Amino acid sequence: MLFTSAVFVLCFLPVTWAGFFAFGRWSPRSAIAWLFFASVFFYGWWMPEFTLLLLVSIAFNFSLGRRISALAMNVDSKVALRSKGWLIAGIALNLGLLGYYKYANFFIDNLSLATGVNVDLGRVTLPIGISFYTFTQIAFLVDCHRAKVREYSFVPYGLFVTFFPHLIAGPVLHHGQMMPQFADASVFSPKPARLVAGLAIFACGLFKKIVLADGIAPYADAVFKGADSGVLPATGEGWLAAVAYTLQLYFDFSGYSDMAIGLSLMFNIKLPYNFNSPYRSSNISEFWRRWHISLSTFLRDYLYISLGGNRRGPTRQQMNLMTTMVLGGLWHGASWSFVLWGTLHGVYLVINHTYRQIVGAERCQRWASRRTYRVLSWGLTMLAVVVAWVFFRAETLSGAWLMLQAMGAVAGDQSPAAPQLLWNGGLSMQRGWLWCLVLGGMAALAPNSNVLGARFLAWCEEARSGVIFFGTVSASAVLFLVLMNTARDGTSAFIYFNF
Amino acid sequence: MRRSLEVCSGFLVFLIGMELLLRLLPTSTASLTGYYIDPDILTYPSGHRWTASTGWDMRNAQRLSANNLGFVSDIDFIADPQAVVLVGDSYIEASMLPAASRPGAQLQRQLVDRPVYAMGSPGTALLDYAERIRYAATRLQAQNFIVLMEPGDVEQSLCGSGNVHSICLDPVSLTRQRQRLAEASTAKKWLRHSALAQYLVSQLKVEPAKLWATAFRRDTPHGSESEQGTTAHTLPAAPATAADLAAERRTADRVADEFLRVVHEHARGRVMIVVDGQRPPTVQRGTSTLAASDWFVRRAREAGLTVVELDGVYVTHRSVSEMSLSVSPSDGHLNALGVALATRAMSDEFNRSKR
Repeated sequence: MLFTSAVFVLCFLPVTWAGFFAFGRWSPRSAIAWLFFASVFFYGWWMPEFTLLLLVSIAFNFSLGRRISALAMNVDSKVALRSKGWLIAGIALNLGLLGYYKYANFFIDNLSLATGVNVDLGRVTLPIGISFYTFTQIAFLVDCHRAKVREYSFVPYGLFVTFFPHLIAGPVLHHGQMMPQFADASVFSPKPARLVAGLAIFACGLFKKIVLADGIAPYADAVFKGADSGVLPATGEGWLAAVAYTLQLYFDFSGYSDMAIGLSLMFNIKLPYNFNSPYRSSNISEFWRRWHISLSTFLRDYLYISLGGNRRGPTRQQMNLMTTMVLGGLWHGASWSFVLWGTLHGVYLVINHTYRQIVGAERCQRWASRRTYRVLSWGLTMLAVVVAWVFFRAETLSGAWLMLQAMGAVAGDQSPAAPQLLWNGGLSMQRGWLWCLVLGGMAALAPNSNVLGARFLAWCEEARSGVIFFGTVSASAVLFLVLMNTARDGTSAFIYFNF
Repeated sequence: MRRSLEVCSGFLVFLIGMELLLRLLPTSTASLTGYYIDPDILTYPSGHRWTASTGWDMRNAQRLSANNLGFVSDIDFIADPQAVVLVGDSYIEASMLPAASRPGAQLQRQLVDRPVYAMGSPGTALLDYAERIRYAATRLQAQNFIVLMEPGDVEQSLCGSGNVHSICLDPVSLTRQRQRLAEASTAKKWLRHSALAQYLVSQLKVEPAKLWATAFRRDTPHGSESEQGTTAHTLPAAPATAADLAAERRTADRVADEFLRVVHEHARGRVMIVVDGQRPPTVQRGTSTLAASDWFVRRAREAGLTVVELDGVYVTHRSVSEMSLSVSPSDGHLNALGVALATRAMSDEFNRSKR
């Protein structure tokens, strides 16, 4: 079910919400069980054939986590060492499952290409959300090994993994972020302030997705599709498409994250923020602290630090950065363009760290207080990010290369004089840039939805009147946006559903 | 009581906010069409100004204005035997194009010494075109006519096709009928002044039955792309049986009878039929739509009318350029380039026959 669909907003959400609090009055455990059941139903609505896989994965990881935890807490160091063995086996199995579903096609295609032997084992369908629920559960196993997990109960664990707002596209959650909330008795009685604030944040996310992301998407799609089919874009349309995709991806994914946070808040459960105005970043390290925060944190905590982080000297740190970013790229999808995107960001980070080491932290700070320096470093960061998104969006390497050729105006005589791809898509260059200007201004200058949502929640919790008024405005906005999405010619899914 | 008040005021504030926002944006405004100049010709009120845009994101927004007779044109139509009257449907009105790119303006630039009266009216077909030819000949003393027709125009001349403003043929008996559009209800007259109502009806095209069907559809994880938008004139592509072809030919014959009768009765000069082609070809020859169109064209030629088929123009264009001739993949109307090619073909033929 898409959060933007009528069936979700008009049927699934009200029934699940009402059921959760109705069961909550009776017993918290039954409310958790209800929400777990509803979340599995939510998942099965699309891919019933993969629901069993999800449940088996949950049951397996839950049992393994208990075993790892029991061994890790043992005072006997030899027994505790066995915990590490089980952890490695668990991670390997999870990654094996993810690898099969996500990378089998990629591996076989490349094997066929490299050997010239046509290997055809059929196409493997990617179960939606597998990257997210696999990473969530790997984090759980590691937390068990680090003796950070205290409570064990299957149903709350199942809900932690499947909780519908985050199941399909994150945020990637930690056991420790969710379980204390499930154990809090106050969660199970409805709170009007949280319901209204959640509804408002959900409406904000819907607006970002349905109006902003889907509005600018045609400008990126028309040009990238053309480039992927071998047509060289004109320089202007190449840049427009790259910038348009930069903004589309942000509003699409941060819109999804806002919806997840808002929906969750309606159930009195707080999810962590996933974005914090990434396009305001003035260097690439800052960008990664602001973009897809839950994944960046996961990669930092469970991969970069495990590889040694910055503890083994600058060279090793740079290798760790590269490894983390390449694997982070590959996590997004099985294609060389994702590998290149990750590699490019790894290179950016290495350059950034090297620069800071050469210049020195104190001088960096002093320069950063100067407006000109800040604007220049912001411009350079955005340029680097936009160029890297070309690899992320293009479906083929040749398409990405054509895009870069167009953007660099290096095609010479072959470069088309007129923006043919936009013309053929019935799109106007001026209107496309106007979209970019408006969305760019919102992304870089306006207060973000985290700040606005937190302020609104605080106001709702203190207000004596007006909460129902704003609740009605928010509900009307949600219904209008869903009507708009249903009535228009085609609906699009969230970009991160592909990962 | 207080809660109800908060709910009502919240809803009201939302509606007012949306109304104001949509008024700031180029939402389509009411066109106020009516039978102002003739009982069989639907036009806008004289001098009326309105906005037209397409889709939920208001693409191709244009400010339009009607001339003295209620057609979208920068020039007033006055009696002038030298005038060339360009007749057709939304292809001629071309409300999605800037004024200078519309067929009337482009043909005017090419014919230079003759005023071009673009009498386009969206949602009409051949028998409605004939009424405009009658009107222009009798009231404007026009003698020369260019009709831009699409293959679907023959079938759309049947009553109930949704593309008729007045004169049409009964689908069963093929007798001439008059089927005028009903006057808007009072509620509709009120609602068309609301930008929010216009947005829902004109931009989103909200229809309860369609909405119900799509609202509870089980989408795939990658969204629903089942509706690929509508082209300006959707052509049925099913291969036709012999019986279908015979029926289509009968229809085409009757449409041709009626159309040519009016033309012969009123047109004193040249009448040119310009037939839109496929961009790129999507409908196989032998389908009923093309069979009807081909038969009509054959009848028009036999009756001495000049026929220009744009298929050849489009093929030539495709051999040298990849630039599309349609407004967009979901809107099959001619874009500025397509109109330029079509009007060039019209003017070439017009000037040739003048010599």
